[in-house]
Amino acid sequence: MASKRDSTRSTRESFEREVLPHLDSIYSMALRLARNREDANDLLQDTILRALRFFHQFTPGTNCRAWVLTILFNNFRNGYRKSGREQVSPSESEFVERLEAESLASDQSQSDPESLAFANVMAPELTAALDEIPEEFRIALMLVDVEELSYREVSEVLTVPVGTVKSRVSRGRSLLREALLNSAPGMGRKRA
Amino acid sequence: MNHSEYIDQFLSAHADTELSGDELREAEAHVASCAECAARLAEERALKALVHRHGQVSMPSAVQARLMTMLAEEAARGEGALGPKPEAQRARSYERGLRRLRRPAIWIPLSFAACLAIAIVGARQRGYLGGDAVHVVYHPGGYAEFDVATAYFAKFDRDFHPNVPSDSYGDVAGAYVDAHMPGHLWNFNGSGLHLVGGRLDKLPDGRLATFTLYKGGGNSVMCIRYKARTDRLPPGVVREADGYLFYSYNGYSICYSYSPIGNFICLLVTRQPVKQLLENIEYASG
Repeated sequence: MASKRDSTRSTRESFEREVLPHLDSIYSMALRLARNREDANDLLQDTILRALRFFHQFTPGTNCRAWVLTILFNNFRNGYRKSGREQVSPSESEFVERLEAESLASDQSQSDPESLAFANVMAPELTAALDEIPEEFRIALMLVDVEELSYREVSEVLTVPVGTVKSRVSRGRSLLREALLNSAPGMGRKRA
Repeated sequence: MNHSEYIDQFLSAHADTELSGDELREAEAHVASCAECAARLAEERALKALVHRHGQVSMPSAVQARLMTMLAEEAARGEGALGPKPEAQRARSYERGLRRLRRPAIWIPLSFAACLAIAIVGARQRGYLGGDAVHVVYHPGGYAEFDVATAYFAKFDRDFHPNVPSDSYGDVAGAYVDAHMPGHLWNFNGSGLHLVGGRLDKLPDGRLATFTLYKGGGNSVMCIRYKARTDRLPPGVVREADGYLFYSYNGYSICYSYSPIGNFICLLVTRQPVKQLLENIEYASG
């Protein structure tokens, strides 16, 4: 017969099994939100700690990454924005350069045929193009394209209707496409 | 569907595999007949793939190491670290009480609960949460949650219909866990009280609650668990033992405890005197 301590250990093991595989994802989004490493690390730690404390509220069988990202966005909105820490730090250009270097997009050994349409887009160009997009569209794109969440999951993370997610993704991708085509004349594609 | 309709309303959702049914069929049919839209769909998917690769960053090992250290420290702080923070301090004292009493609780792992899920879903579809009407008399100057608890005890002591599989402690605990409620059951066998069965039902305010009835030797004890709404302790405690608060309330004895794991309240209700209820708990504690 298991004791309370055993059940707590079981909860903790479930947490490690469910949450830890998504750390890279959570870290990536923390970096994109906080825009500098120090704040991103704080945001990440706060998020993981909160996820641990509130893990009893996670529904097994649902998307754990979406659940942790919801906590991340809540933390970001409630804590970091209030304190003004979302402001871009003076070292942002250095941060972006290093981020690009670490990004898997810098790996030019792309084999996916569909990627050929934008095969010549370099990480700095993409970063610049993404930066041109208003934040609400950029975040929706990141959640769908990078975190691979469904529109419904994004609507829960951002607490907006699914229809809003759909329009933000559509608009965001359209703006990104225009920005890339306008900034990369060497791509040999017609302008939008 | 025409060209601009597809681009404006369906292209992104199509690339994101968010279309289904008629919308998907119409979109597929349009793309099959429109070379320009087919090219735009390929481009949209390429853009999606590009952003995906660009956004993926591996966590530096130093950051990961710091995170693991933080989690290890949190684990070392003990069980109280799990649960809603605002109630943490008081909750920990209750948790310590629970551990000291070492009552034999039954914890059914989630995997076991999953095995029961199909049967339980079926039961739910057959009217699981029927919500037997319970007439609650709220006493002036009383404690509303105790009025509710005693009203349910009075009804279920006379007429109890388990609505979860109740052949064993495991059945009941598994059904509770499946409903995201605590799976801990009391074992009062040492006091001559045996499990009658379990019931999931809603309180008058809509909160889901578990009702577990134990009977034996002409006595009954009912355990009611539900999510706490406030951290205010019920007034009028007559005895406190190891984090359990005991009350005499309108001819009933009630034992109140709180668990920060999920923020649940546990009420044991009986017609037995407080002293007897305390002994039952101590026996159950082994």
